[in-house]
Amino acid sequence: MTALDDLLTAPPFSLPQKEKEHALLPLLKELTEHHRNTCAPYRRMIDLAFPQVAEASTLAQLPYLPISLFKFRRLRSIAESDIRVTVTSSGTTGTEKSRIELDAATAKLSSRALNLIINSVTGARRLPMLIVDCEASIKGGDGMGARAAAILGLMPFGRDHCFALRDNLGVDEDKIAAFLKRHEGQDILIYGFTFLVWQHFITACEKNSYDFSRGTLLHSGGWKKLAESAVDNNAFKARLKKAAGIGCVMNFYGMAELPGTIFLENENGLLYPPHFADVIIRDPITFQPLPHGQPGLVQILTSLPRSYPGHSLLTEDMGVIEATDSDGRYGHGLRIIGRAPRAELRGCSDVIAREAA
Amino acid sequence: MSALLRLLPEKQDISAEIAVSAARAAAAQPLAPGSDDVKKYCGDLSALLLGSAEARSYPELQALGFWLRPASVDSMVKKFLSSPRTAIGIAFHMPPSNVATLFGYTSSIALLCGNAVLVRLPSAENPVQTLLVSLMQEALAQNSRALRERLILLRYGHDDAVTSELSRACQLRMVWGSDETVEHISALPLPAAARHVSFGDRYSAMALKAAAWLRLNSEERNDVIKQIFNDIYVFDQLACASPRLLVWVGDEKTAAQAAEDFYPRLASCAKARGYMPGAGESIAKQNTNFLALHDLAVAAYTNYGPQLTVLALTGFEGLSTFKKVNYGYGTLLAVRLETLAEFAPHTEARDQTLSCWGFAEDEMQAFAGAGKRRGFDRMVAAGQALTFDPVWDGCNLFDAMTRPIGKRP
Repeated sequence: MTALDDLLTAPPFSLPQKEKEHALLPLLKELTEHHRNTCAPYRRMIDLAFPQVAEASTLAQLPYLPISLFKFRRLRSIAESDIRVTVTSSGTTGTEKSRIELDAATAKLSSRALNLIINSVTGARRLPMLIVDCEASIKGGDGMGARAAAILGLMPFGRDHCFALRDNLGVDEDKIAAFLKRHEGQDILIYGFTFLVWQHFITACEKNSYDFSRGTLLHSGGWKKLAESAVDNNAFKARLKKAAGIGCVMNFYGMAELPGTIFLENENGLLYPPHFADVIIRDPITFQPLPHGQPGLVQILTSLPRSYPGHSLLTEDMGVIEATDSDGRYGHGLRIIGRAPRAELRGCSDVIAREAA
Repeated sequence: MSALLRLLPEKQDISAEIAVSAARAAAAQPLAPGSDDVKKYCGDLSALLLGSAEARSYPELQALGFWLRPASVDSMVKKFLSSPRTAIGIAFHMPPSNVATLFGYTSSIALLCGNAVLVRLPSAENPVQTLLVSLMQEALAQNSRALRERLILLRYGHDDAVTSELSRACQLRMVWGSDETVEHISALPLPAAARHVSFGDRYSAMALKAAAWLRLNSEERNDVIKQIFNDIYVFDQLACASPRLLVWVGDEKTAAQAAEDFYPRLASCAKARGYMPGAGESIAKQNTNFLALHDLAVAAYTNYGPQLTVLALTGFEGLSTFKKVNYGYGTLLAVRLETLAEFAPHTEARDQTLSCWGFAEDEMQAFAGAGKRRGFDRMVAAGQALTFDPVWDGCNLFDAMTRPIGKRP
């Protein structure tokens, strides 16, 4: 058993933070070395930006890449012929999409990691699964979008998959009714992107008084699109409980660039990284690590990516570590606050284009 | 079609049609280029800009006020408008959204040329622009109604229908913006005889003579740094004339010594002047810094606090492509060359302004006259990079906004 195997076997959230850091440091240092040796641009960037990397004795001293780099440059640590899966971020309007490439080994590791986390929710049973999305979303063209990646990643945990939305994202009420009838009295798994659940599914539940009291709802994709309607996690949960009797609603946090590395929400809405991953909060101006309790940029460290140098990424999300080894789980409890502010562009260049986008 | 807000002489909602007929009515009574009426308005605006306590806190408004003072306007009129010419008619300007003061210069030139001018201000307001508009309004109020009607300042969103209607009515369209914006606007039709002048993305640099730097005492160095600070940091280093590449001229040892002294001074000057990028700016800056590390031949990467990051390059490989990346907020690329003339073969059409410090006239001449030079339309002293120049990107704005008569003896 390798050290990573240990982390992928133990029951989730059972590892105290200190022990976790102790286990992660050598794994992540080895990954840094691996990518330095197999991805020339990575080596070039890291050796210049983090000259002291070899002496890193804490996770915060490890090098990181800004996640946006994957939008503008292709970085991989494998030969082109070894690419098995290409994942792209969904990409908000007018922005570039991220692109990462997985070989067979990293893809396998990602799905194994996902198994461990989802099984802790579903109890390793394949439950009837309602997907709050349309079937067309998983038949993308160039590369796999984040929505498709999440759905396809989760489908193996369910059976009798039912896509609740039509291709125009309207709710297919007949299909939902038939699905509920087929599985009356059974535990059900429901998954969807947060904004699709909020915008389409909840209203249909309210209208039709569906009984999803045996359902567990997993949702992800973030609150970005909901921020303007001022929806918070509590309101979201309360409305689902009231509309469809869903008592178990769990958010998870992850990103297209890091398949398999997902942070699962606890009862208090804090997101916990899996054993093989961790989170550091950095000041968005100085990029120095911040003490717990102070909000800043979220950096994600994860032992999964071997095919591309994504094992330490500085995201553009703002978050705060609100708990460590407390609140019912071991590890860091993260709260995501939202997107980091965008630069207000001044100058003659690109300004109008940005405004027009 | 979206609604237009006319800002001057009074705020009112109007239609594109009304804006066009106002411009036509004004253009039907052309003024002679360099008329006393317009000179008076320029002088009034200058006095307001230089006299207003609020405007005094914005160096860019002070620069405009200085440029508009009577002596300066007189000498420009003499220099640019003395040969016989007529007004062009209606000039339609689309200035960049955030060099907020540019339309103050260009609308004044349009009026001095005798035209009626339609200005499309970007939809986002900012304090400098708001203040300038209100001072312009005050200046117009001190002038004749005929003059007031010639300056039609409009605010509307990105609406091709409006832009098209205004374009169809004008004799000259002048556009500033990214290459993308310029291309987009250029595709909208103009009357057959109308002119189109555009200013797209450019790249600018600064050359420093290392030996000359080392000859200065500490106090003198700090005085120069203050000038260089303005060039780099006003407009967040994102104006087309803001230097983004430093060229150190000198031998390896001298250049290293000068650079080692220069960067910490620049960073502490920026800090002392209160330059502090916010979170969004710092993140954008880190993103483009990593792109530079990825794309360029970087020998050293040094952060001098949030105000300044320097990437010392071993050569120019990759730079031509990287110039299209919109980086700023205090990131400098740096190269070293033995002589300024050696820089010439590395220049290209995109290069606009070269701010120079510490060179003898013959060194500058050797660069300017070098046969392999492909870029740079302006060479200016350090501290002057952002100074408005009526010959911009090689285009004489007074000529562009008038019709000089061609004569053949």
